[in-house]
Amino acid sequence: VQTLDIDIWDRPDLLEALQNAFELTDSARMAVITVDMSERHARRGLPPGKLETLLSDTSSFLDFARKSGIPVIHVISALRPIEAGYMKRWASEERTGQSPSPYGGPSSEVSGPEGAFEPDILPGIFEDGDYIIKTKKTFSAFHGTDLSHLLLSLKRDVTVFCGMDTNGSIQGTVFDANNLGYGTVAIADCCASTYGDDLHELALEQLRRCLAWTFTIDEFQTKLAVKV
Amino acid sequence: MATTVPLIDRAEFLDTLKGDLEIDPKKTACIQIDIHRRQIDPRFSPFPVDYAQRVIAASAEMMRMCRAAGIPVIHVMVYKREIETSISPRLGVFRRIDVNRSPYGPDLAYDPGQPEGYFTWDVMPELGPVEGDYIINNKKTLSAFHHTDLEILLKSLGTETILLTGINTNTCLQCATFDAANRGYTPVFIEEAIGSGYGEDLHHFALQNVARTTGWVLTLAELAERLGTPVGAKPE
Repeated sequence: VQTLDIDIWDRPDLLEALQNAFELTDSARMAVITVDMSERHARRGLPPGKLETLLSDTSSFLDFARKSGIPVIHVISALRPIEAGYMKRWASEERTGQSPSPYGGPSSEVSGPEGAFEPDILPGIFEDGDYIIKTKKTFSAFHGTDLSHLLLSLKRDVTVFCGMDTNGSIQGTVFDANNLGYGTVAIADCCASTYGDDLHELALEQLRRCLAWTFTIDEFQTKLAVKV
Repeated sequence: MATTVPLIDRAEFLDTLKGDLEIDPKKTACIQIDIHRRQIDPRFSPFPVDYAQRVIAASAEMMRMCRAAGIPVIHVMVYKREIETSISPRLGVFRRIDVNRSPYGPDLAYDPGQPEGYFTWDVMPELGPVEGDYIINNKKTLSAFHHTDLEILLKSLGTETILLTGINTNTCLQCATFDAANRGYTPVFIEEAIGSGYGEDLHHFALQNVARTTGWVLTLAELAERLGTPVGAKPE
């Protein structure tokens, strides 16, 4: 595995063509999905100052979404103790005492008590009227959760993503969203990674070139068909 | 303007996790994804010829080692009905824009041409399939698992660890590591046997991301050492 710097290939024509081809501008088709915006997850660590800007930007964006009539769904991880070894990679990290975060925080998402786990969504992110899914077990907000069922019930087929980690569960969920036929959008200012800012930056490049329309908050607001 | 992303040095972390990885050939499968004519043959794909030859040669080497160790080989390849080509809005957009998805050039049309229900495979001949290999020829998306029978086959084989080869590193191969991890498998990239037509930056991103996030990355030499199976050895 390469250990040197990675030079991003310059593909302005492709990126411009993709951004211009964005046609999913109907807010009535959209749902905003935040991933792992929880106290437990944030304890793994982010680059200095990143959590504060992530919370501020995401809070602002979610306010805009709610005012635009876009439902907000928060998906957070919670593992039963018996499920801690299910993901082989996470089990290996636990067994060897290694944290996937270069910022040094603990990696466990084990939570309880059974059936009564209280969501620990980060401050300024949740508001009454939002939806909460607290059964995420893997890198995907879809796999083994009721997210697809909720989106179907809400009649929403364009998924707009915020949260952590850009290279992990955001990317993993965007893969699933594509494979399930949803439209995919990522809000760059509202994503971060506890795995390292390098993987965050590279994952944004991967998303915008291959997997999702990736906008800043300002860019997304100008794209919406119906203005607030 | 192009930018450079300095990688965080996580060598100790990666070495520790690599040391914790165990591969039991009896509970392992080799999955080859999308090394077929439509995706990599220079007559139909912009994938650079030299690069393709290196990936195919390494993949063939990996498969020989796996077969010699008694590890089943599964070839997974895309086959879509015309009506299925744009189900994902994001993937469908590449058919509408006038810019190449690959920095290496345009995709060239190639339709395997069989009538409904009769497509078999168009695996690059260097890889087989040989007798005993398995074929999954209805991959529709970036995922080898979604809408295919791959998981049923893996469970039937008693698989726990998945050795991955194929293209493209950052899309279908990386997606396979997410899918496999989410389903409780141990995904392992074999580094030389994987390549990307999306650019070396995204290829190296995906290698780095799998090693640090979703699975493991081994070289061919490391795989040979773990299997204890010299190239060309016969299965017991």
